[in-house]
Amino acid sequence: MNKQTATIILASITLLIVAAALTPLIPVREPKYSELGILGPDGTAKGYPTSVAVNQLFRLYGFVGNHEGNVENYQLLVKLGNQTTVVNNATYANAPVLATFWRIVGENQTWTFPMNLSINQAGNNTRIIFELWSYNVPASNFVYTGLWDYIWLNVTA
Amino acid sequence: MISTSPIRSHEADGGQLTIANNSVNSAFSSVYYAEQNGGDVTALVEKLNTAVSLIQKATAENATDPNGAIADLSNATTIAQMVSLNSTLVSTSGSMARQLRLYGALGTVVATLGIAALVYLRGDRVYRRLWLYVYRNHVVEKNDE
Repeated sequence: MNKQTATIILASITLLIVAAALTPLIPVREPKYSELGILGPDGTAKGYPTSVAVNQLFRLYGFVGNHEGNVENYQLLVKLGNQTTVVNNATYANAPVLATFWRIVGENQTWTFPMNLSINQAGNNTRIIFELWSYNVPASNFVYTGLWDYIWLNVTA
Repeated sequence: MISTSPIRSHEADGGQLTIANNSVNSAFSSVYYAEQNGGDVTALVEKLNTAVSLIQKATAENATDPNGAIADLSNATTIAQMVSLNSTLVSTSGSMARQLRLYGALGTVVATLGIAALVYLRGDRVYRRLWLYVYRNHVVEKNDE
């Protein structure tokens, strides 16, 4: 082995060791996001109720995933809306809150939970809106994440 | 896990419920910063969720068992305050662990570069001395063939 080859091998090994030592210190830039899902009574994405009686309990499941890169303080608000209720990624629904579910979720953890709900007023095309809020630490309040979902229900008297 | 009246720290609520809510949110902020500093907050999150469950239980039972609800809210507040205190320790140990990792990595880099430089500058001489030491008793015999 000549001097030049030995130098190249030595430099390569040195670079590999230095890179391996420094890699854990370099922050990984992964996409940050939360997940929201509403599941049916059997915990799958099917069998959603379409009609319930007033004050009849019905069960749905909520699913929240935290991939924000840190622990999150989530609240899922269940609101009672209708066809005219405006809700989108930027605007939360201005509607009465039926229930609130609250949980601190660690990074890369999910939270699946049952929601036993009932509605105390009859109406066709009632929209049950699910909004995910998270606690903003610097602002010290809950803010709308822009994640929402809904189901349509006919509520019979 | 259902609360018929909303638990919303973004709305004004009165009395112990507000205190408990604020304690949990304040403790969450401490946990958040402890994690940012590299601390393992798994156990703290678990305790904080116990406090959240107590608040939700208190809200549900408020109409039927007000005394029980008050006790639950008081317990939730205590748990949240404990979490806040413990998160300071977790944050400190996280910072120290992070610094140790940093120093360890920098030490590895410096040692590697130092050894590489030594090998480059003195490698030949060391190799030859080592060779002579290993073969110091070696006798070269005449090959008859």
